[in-house]
Amino acid sequence: MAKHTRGVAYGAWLLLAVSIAAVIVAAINTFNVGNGISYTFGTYLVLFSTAMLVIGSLLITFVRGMSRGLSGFVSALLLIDLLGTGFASYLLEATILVWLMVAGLIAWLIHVFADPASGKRSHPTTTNREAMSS
Amino acid sequence: MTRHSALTLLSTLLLASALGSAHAQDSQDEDSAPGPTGGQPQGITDIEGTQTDGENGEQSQQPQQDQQGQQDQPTTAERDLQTTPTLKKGRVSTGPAGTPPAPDAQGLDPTPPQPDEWMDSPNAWATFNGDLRAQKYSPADQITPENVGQLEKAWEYHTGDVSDGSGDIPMTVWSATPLFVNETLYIGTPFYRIIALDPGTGEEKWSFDPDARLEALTQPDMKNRGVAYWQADDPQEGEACQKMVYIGTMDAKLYGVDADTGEPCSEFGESGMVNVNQWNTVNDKWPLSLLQPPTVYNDTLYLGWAGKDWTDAAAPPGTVFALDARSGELKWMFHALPEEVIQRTGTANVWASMSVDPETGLVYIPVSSPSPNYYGGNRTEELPLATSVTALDAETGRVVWSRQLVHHDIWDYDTDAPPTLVDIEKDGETIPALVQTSKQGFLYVLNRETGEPIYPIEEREVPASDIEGEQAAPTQPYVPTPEPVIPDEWPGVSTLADIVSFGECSRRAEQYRYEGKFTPPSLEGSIAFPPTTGGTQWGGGAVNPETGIYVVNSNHVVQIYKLIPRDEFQQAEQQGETGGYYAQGDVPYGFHLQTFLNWAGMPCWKPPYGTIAAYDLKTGERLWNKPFGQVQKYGFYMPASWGSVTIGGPVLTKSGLIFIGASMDSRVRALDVETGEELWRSQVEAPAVSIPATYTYQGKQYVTFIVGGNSILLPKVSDQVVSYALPD
Repeated sequence: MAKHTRGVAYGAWLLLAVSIAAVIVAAINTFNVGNGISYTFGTYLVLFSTAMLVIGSLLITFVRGMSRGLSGFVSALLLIDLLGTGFASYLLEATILVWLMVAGLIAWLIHVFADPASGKRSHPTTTNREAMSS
Repeated sequence: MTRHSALTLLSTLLLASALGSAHAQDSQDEDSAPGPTGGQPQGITDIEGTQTDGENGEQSQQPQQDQQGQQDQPTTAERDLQTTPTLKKGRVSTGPAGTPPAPDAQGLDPTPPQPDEWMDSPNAWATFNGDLRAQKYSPADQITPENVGQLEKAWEYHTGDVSDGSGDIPMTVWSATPLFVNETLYIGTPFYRIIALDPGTGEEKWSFDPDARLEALTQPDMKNRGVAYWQADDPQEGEACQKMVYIGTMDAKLYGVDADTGEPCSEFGESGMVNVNQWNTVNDKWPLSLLQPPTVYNDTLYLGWAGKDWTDAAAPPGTVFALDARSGELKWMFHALPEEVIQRTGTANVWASMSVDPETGLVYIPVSSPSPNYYGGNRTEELPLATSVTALDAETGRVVWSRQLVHHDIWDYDTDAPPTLVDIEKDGETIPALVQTSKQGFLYVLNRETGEPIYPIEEREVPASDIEGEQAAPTQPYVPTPEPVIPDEWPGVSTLADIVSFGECSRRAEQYRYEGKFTPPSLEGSIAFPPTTGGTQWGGGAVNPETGIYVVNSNHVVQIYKLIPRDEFQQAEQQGETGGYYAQGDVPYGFHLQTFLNWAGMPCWKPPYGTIAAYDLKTGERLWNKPFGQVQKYGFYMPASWGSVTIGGPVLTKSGLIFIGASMDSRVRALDVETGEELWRSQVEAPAVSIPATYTYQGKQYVTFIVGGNSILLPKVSDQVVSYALPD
């Protein structure tokens, strides 16, 4: 019997975990009075961008059947989000967020280069792997 | 004793008491008009006598008598003042409690009073600047460069007196120095309350609320720079008001309360309040705002005032008041402007703090520029005391010496900080010196007994004005050593700001007039570097008197000074233009002031925007000069190499630390005085635009910051008092 060998998308899962942590940290930075940056435009921006990161991570983790183009577009947006949030966090001197964005970047790289492809294009790869493991 | 005998004795005592009281009152009336040679005013003796007697009857009558006197005072006081001309066209009006100067008096007073011991305690921080000499220095050495990293918050207190300007009360600007004296920490708030705190825990001991008017009567914000403290040389146990705390208000009222209880001192003015505005009789367009606490020396309060900037040509002329610390009676009133010009101009006032040499009895006053600040066609006469540092005889108010720092000031280069007094070892000699910081970025190092420069001051030719009616001075004093705190030339256009603005910055820079320092205001707009923000602000510098190392923080800001012909100004006014436009009264030109920013709000000039530097006063050499603080915009911190505009001053400790808030980034810091390296920092709620205090209480050294914010830096306010100490 053919074993279901579709690989786990470690990169996407890691990115999702990182982005959830990031949105929590961003919320704390935004609403924790006395940290020097709370209730500023910068923290609102980062809260928004990390929330977008969560949404993007959810998309690449759970949504199957995205076209190759859409999948690439989401990944590109995620990269921009990661870099932008990282830069904004650097300027906010929000060190934890900066490190989370570094971790997110690593997760994104894993996702792009090592995760099993999601969406329509993933079938041939899966088939090949299934064939190899039969 | 029979009942009849007892009644007779009682009647006799009452009669004697009444006669004594009447005699004392007569004596006061006689002495309210001092004779030509002066002498110790009887008023003080009487008040002391009353306090010593401690008779309830007399004390309860005193407020009524004071009240009556105060009601009559605007006319009586003026009539009683004896005016004596003094050096450089200054004048002194001697009040009922004062001693007129001898007309031919020259130089120092041969018998100055001795310094107040309570103020010189090494553990205390008893004045706005730490001590009378404005050294901002503490011999405390528990916190060192090695352990300062362990500094932690000891306590925090919130006054509740804060406004972001969104309601009825204008925004608060709080720059008080906390005073530690009498085993208590005293603070003044921008709502003009006095609060006494336990220095070790921050717990409130008492508070005094004068119910002051919370309106922007002169300054656009509710401002306060703290309180002043005084105590009698030999305080009598159990007697009220032997120790007093004072606070001024924006509407010119000075309150004096008991330092142990916060109760108003009934013998001080009218039930604990002196209305300083009673002496505001020339061009009294606005009240003489008492935002800076008085300087206290030898049972006397020295008081300047702040006014309304740039709205009037003829404004209240600059005065400094010396009041009796117990009674609030006027000793003398110093006028910086000659009488013949005061209907056309005004100000040349002292709005910053002062310093005092308790050994020689000289009060050093930083005199601001005359009005209007950016056009001088209505005041072309020499006004030698305007924009000067001036030494007054503390006893009489006469000018002992004065040095003008800007001739015919048309840049609003107010002398804005008290000179720091320090003895300098130079070429084998000990020289009694002072260091005067300035908006123009120079450090004037002068002999404080004569006013003569220790490092040379050159008169350099400066650009002429092209404005009709204006007569800019052909030369200005220039100080090459010590090196100025900011460069001679403006920093030039920032490439980043220029790119972001698609060349707007460089295009505008080419349109403006710029011919170096002291480029006069013009119709096309002149680049002003430094502008009205300085250079160095009211925080001034700090010095270690043992090493002669002097530390000062500075601003590097570029503003555009533009004069606008009156008809165009009125047209702009009718069109609703308000931001940055100032009328300057009835002179032919209004004024437009703007910071040189691009459309995105980025400074068009190259950073740094603020620095801190250390100088060796023995040689005049600058030891180091570093960007200080960080600009914060929308929460984002700009690179540390850009520095920050700063308001507030540094404090030095014997152990080699600089404590300072002052920056835009809402952080307080400790720096190494040897290198300028940051050793410790802590986040606070808003820019700590004040001078911190460091003191030793019950064997523990504390560093306390007032965190109030300033709308010039950021629209961020707070009411936080935060104290740091090493862990137990």
